[in-house]
Amino acid sequence: MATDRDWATAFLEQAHADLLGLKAMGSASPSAAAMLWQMVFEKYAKAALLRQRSVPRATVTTSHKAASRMLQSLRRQKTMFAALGGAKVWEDVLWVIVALETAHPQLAPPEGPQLEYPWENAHGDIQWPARDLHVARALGDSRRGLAPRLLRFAELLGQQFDGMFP
Amino acid sequence: MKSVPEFAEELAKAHVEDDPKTTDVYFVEGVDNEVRLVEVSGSLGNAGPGEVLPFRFEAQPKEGVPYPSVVVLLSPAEWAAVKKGDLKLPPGWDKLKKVG
Repeated sequence: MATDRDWATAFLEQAHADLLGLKAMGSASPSAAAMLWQMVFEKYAKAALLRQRSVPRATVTTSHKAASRMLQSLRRQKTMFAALGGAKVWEDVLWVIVALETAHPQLAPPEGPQLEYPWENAHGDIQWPARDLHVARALGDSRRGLAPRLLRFAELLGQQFDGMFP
Repeated sequence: MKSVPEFAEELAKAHVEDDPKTTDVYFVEGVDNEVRLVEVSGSLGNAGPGEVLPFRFEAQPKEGVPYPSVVVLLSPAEWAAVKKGDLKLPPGWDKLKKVG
């Protein structure tokens, strides 16, 4: 019978694998990268919750807010705040993850914007992530340096995960 | 060494400074080996169904953190749902005292 720890290991390993995929993808498709970013942070957060066994597994696996809650909680820990990046990095990371979660198909309002699928906005225009999802465009904007900061943060989180969530 | 309630006050104050959109912080009374905080913040999205997700952090005595801490972050809508009984805090989190 699989334990929560076994499930945590699986989520953690898949988060690492998703992150590898992001690195391989580079800047080829910011909207696809946006989906992967959401998946990476959600899996890290679910691995943390499963290791801590503080809520039932079913609650963890169906959560769509785990990533933002984990990152907001980490940000409040002074030593972890410093270990994962400075104020600018945290500002960027929290902005991105909230934007991604808000656009998740399970949480986004019908008039969008959506992370994965086209949507019809309040004016009746059909829009889609690659063209119209603001956070995806921001991730693909090389002038902002958002994606490299996010990547560095995620790599540090992955490296230090066992210490933060033993 | 500070008591759990004393350290909870200190931690809550630091968290509010970190997230100025925090409107309320509650400390769980009656636990003497870790700090448990419920923090209500406008910086958390209200979209979707409410979720209660406690994240635990180890003590770091060398860094001035003498106790482990567990933090539950809630949006204002989620906190309202908790007060109505529509959303449950974890077992053992029933004796809440407002901090600050």
